[in-house]
Amino acid sequence: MAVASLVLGIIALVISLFSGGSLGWLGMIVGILGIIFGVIGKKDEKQKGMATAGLVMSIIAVALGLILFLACAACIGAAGLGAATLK
Amino acid sequence: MQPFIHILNIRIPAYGLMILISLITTNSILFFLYTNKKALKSCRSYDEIILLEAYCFLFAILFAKILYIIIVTIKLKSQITINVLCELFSSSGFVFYGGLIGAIFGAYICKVIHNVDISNILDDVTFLLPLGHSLGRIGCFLAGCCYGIPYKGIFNIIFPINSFAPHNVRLFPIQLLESIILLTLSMIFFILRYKYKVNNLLVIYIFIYSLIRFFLEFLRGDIIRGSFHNLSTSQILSLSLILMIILIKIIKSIKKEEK
Repeated sequence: MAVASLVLGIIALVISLFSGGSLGWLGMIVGILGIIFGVIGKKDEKQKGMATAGLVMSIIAVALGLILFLACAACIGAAGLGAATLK
Repeated sequence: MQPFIHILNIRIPAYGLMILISLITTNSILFFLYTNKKALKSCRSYDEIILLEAYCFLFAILFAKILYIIIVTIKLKSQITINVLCELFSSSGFVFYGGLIGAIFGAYICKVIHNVDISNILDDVTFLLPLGHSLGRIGCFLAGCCYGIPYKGIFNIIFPINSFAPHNVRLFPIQLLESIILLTLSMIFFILRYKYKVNNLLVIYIFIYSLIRFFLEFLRGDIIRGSFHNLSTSQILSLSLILMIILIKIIKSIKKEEK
């Protein structure tokens, strides 16, 4: 679990930083999975350090994804918007 | 009013920044409440709260995105191609109520998998929902989205050219009004929980917010959110939630009487 958290944290960080915000939501999902695995991994005393590192990385990735991507997505996220912009 | 904030020559979207500030604020209060030991007694550790939050966010994002793609796909019908689908995946489109349903589903999944006592935790943290939402609405005000109807009375505002709202038009400051209402709600819910020990606060909050949102929608000027028979999508969803809560209450009271 700790290794999974660390790997997911790194992947999420890469997506959030280098997708230019366009795939930020995917980075957030991977980051959140990293947080879940990190919390579960912390229960194992031997791998606590690695799990904490994964947890911290994932939280940073989610925060970055939020800042870069979520520019008013929740407000404008209405059903008709996509249709209107694609036409 | 200020869609982008410049810090050390870095352009940061104000809305995303406000959402982040809202998350940091609510989590800091949560941590303070947990360490204070007067609240969140049902938690075995702080990790449980992080887990619950993570599950809620995960399913909220997924449901909000999936619902958005489904609705747009239905609207476009034959025009859907692989390119359009890719565009939808990378676009910033989400459906708020899809997120709400996803968050409730996520909390339930967390309860099933990790045996977290969500009913007590949710009652303890309900007051943080309007607080976070209130800060998010300030983000809306800065970005110029979710704007109000044209209005020339007191406190009217004109948004700058680079914001989402129409320019050179005096508008009603609906974002700030909603923010103030939510902040007041947050304080009332805090007192209700920690002074008067009221239970079932989440249901009460959803009921009150739906009611307030229904009336506030009449002061909203953005038409891109879709409408049906003079009612906006949010008003229809608000009404549905109110009716659902009333119906559940009636069914529960009938069952109690039968016993």
